[in-house]
Amino acid sequence: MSPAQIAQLAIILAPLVKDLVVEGSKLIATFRDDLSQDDLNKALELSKSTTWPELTFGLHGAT
Amino acid sequence: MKRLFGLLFTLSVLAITALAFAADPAVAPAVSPAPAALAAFLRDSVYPLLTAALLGLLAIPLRWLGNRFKIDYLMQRNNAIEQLAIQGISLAQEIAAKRIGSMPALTGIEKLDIAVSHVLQAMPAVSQDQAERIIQAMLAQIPGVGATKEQVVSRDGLIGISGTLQPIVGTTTASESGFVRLPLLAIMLLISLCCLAGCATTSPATPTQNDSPQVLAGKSLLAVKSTIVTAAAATDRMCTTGAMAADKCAMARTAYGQSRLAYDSAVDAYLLMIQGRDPAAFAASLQRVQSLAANLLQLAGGVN
Repeated sequence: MSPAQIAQLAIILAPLVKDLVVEGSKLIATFRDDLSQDDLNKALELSKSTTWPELTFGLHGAT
Repeated sequence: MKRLFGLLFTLSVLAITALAFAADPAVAPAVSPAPAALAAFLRDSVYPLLTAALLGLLAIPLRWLGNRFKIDYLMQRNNAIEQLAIQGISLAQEIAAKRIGSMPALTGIEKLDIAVSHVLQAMPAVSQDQAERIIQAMLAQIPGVGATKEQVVSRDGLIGISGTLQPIVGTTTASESGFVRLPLLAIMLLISLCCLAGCATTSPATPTQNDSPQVLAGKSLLAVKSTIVTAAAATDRMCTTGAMAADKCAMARTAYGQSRLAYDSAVDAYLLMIQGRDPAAFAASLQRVQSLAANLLQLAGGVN
């Protein structure tokens, strides 16, 4: 594998690895949080899709 | 390959859930006031949703990566074609040598036809034009043969030919080039997910040890959300940078929309189950999740 290919691979994988680390950290924190059932219910209510990012997938127009 | 990835991700999902529950050996159905409902919720809602979301959102970029980085297959194919081309040239030379003195000598075109026929017999998927170009490229690397005569283009790696390795022109398009082993990528991702689940659940300090099955199921739902959003954001980035085809991006957008609906239904079903009210509404929510998960799986090509 040439240095140029390694650089190209790094450019492709870097954002994916960053997302994996950030979301993985959140996931670990969630599992380790000593949440009561009530707190968990509230967290689930707040996690509903209205709070999710609006993604266009490069296709502008109706979602 | 698609089935392999479907299987890998299903296994990873099951591994995460199994690890989450294995971390709490004291988990017993008797702890739950409604173990049957919880089991049904996990089996019919969380697992299908997570599997569908993973297949729906990750299969698309992975399929793109598979098409883009199928380097192993291409290298093996190129090597096989090159070997066949050399065999074809040798065959033509041998036939020409046998004809000396007894029959009219073979013309250059006839020799080329013999070599091309030899390649096409073994690999019908190669076009005649491609086979001709490969053989002519090979001729330039063999002394005394072809228009280059003794001016040999040297290269390594093939029996009977010396020199440095050069790519074969015309056998690999720009869109097919790449350098990532896809199975290795999938295995690395699988190991990462399992390690992540292990870190999240098996530490002695983690309160997961004391979580009830209901709380673990709720936390698993939150993990589903994280998984969907992460995968969707990664896919979105590929689409906005033009790295993925528009039709694949349209599929990803549909899958993301359906994942949102399915997640909301799963949360509703979970809350209804936990609060223990309105069994009909709970069943309806479960039904909705199952339907959406089936749509997602179909969209991803995860089922036949």
